[in-house]
Amino acid sequence: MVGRAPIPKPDLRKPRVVFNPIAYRGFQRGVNLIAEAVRPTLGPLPRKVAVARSALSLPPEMLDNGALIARRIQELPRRNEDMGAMFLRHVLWRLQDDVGDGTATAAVLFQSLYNQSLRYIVAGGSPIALRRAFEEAIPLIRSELDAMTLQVQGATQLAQLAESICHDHELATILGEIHDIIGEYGQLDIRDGRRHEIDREYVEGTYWNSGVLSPDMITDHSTLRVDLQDAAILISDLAMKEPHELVPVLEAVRRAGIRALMITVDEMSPSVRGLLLANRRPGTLDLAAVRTPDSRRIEGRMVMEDMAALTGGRPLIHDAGETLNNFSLERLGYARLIWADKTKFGIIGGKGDPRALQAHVNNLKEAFARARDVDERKRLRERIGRLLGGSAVLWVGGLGPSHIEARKSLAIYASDTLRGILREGVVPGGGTALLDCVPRLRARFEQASDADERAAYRILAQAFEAPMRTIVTNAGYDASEVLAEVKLAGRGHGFDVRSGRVVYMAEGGILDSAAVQKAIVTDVISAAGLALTIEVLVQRKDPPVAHHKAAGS
Amino acid sequence: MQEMDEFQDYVYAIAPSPDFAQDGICFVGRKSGFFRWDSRSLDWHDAYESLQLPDALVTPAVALSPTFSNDHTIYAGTNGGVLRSEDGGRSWVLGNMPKPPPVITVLLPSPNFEQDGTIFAGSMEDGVLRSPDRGTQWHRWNFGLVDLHVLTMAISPNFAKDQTLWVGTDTGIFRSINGGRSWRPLNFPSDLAPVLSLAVSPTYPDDETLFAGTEMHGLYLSRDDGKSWQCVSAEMFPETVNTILVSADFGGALYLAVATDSALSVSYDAGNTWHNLEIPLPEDEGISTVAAPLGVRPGAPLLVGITDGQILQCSAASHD
Repeated sequence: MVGRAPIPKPDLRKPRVVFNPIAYRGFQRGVNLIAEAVRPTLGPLPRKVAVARSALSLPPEMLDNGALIARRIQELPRRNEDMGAMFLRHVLWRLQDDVGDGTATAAVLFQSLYNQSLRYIVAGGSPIALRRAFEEAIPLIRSELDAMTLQVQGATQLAQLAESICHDHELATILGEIHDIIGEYGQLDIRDGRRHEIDREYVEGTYWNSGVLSPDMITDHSTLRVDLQDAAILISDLAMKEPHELVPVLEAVRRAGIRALMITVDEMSPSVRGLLLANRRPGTLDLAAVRTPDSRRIEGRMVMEDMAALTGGRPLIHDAGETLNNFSLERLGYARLIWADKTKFGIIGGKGDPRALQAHVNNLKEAFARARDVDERKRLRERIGRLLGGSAVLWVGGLGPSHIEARKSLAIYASDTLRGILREGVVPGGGTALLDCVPRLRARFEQASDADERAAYRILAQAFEAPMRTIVTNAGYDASEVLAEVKLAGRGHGFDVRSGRVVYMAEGGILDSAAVQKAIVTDVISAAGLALTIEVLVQRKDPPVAHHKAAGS
Repeated sequence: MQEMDEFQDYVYAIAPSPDFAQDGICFVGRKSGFFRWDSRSLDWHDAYESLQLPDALVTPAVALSPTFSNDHTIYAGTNGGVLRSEDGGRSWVLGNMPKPPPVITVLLPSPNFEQDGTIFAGSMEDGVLRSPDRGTQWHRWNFGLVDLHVLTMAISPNFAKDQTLWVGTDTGIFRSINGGRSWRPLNFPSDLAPVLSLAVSPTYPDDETLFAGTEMHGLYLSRDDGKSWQCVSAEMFPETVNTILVSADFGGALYLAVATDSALSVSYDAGNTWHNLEIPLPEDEGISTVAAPLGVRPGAPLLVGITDGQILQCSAASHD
């Protein structure tokens, strides 16, 4: 029996410093390896990439997601190649994190830019000048993409786009409906379905994953929750340990004629809970308490800020030195309905000042637009979604656990892309948007007098044809022939690989997220420019294998 | 001009029968309850009679089914929910509302009501409620509606296709383009809010024209689907605009009737020129609402609700 070919092991014990032109060549081989591995997946008729699993007895993974394929390539035996491969892998993975799509286009574009540029540099061109010209071209290209951007609205259009992303009609239809309602920021929980089908549920108001402090606080035993109507809320992250601390609060509430009160705390001792339960008078004074979500983390402060904006309350904050002695009725917030069960509590119809709430939402949206960190963006998006007053739950069913998991991943991926589409619109798909930037790049090429600048625009113009060429080739057509036909048809036209015809892409519903295309252009051109300026590769004595594996897996 | 009633009250809403030209009937929501009023005999009939209420039930919102002549369906928005009658007001059923019970401020059936059975309710603290089944079940739909104090609503004449409606609130105007299931703020300057009245051009799909009446800053017009707004006749409407009615003639020219607290004005050229109508308002009283049972057009009747509970009947002035 013939086994697998032996993999040459890098000698990790020796530190190495590699200079050009060897550095370029090795780095380029690594870049090309990743790009070629991802290239077959570009387009609506992708080919699969089989990736061996760590356990040899398992069948290979059949992947058509560029980011996932790049992620699976964790180490190359030759260290120069490995650095090139990991550089591109990082670019692709960051793009995936940022916008959730576009990695195959990015890989193809990067490869074309890098290889062409390298040829020019080897022939005597300046990498620094090339990089500068690349950077200068980014705003030009983004404005060109802006000019061709269309806004999307309606469940039907969104479902059509979702289907082009996830190729699952049932999932796409429901995702289209959900995002038509919750928009770009709304909260969407994607959970395992109990049946084969996909289903959805809309949850009114907002809720947090934090439940009642005692099951005895649940008053409706059919729904297993407590509903406080026209309720006040005391927002705090205090630890309430002594019953006598709470007595003045309850007295003030009773005197003010408040008929329902929800208290959020970090901690409540059994004796305080007992006091609360003992003072409940159904219909006269309903009382309940929940743990403040994330109360022991910095996020807890943000949750309290959001609750305050929704209800018009002013939180009592432990870190600010506040205690229940600082309580006054003015600190209370109000809502039409506050509910809690064992694991969640929610607010419907907060009675905070709508202008203040809108201002708070606008501030969060600005912070979201500025944020680069993926987790930070996710946190901000969730907060905005909550404040806008509603969320959806998507129940993903399937033929078995692995099918459900795969569909859930697709749902997350498609949902992220739809959010980008709702924020920034769409551009003609199938590589047409980038192809339609070429005339502007050629015009700049004609205007430029500096040799390096001319080379940069020539390289960009050629690279911007690469995604469409790849899509057409992957679908089994002759790219040169098709591109000639598309160019003849004019701006906005592209090749529908399913029908095998040149069509006006917007009319054919073949569209891409403008946010994704802009992110691709920005990230890839910047990264290619940076890669071109690499002169020396320094290899460590002991590469931090664990680190880059952890980052990607 | 005729005075129709004398007792102290407040007229919130007037809903004329679609056959007003023949039957002269309209339904009136007042502080003192809900009434069927015959504009010919001038008789008032307590439409809540069958409910045998111990106290007056304030009725801020009224709507008739667009096919009232056939289905005799009436909706009354009250402090606590929406009542529905399918026999012209003889008997009533309370729609199934989410808790806590809302205070209804405005009711708006879909222009396509016969097919879709959809009716919307604006509320004081609960945003927009939507019923997809002719008012039996009601659900709050407030995704994106940051301000839940709904003061007025308007619906696209092409709702069956574009699914568009608007709400005016304490802080501005919100629009839904998916049949009221989610909302986005419109680009209306928030310092001009609250928005008390909204109207949509009958030819909105072509002219994208909207009107907004504010509490403190007069009448505003947008000709680009709410992207930009301009003040209309600041000298005519310096303050509160509580009703805007719009009709179109066969050539598409817009006829407007606009009520402020103290005056009723009509325009037959989309708001370029205005005629003030003579309304003999009782001392210390104002106009609360206006209805145009046959549309706004020269010589057509206008029903003017007064803050003391009366209804005055007048006719729109001629072109000259």
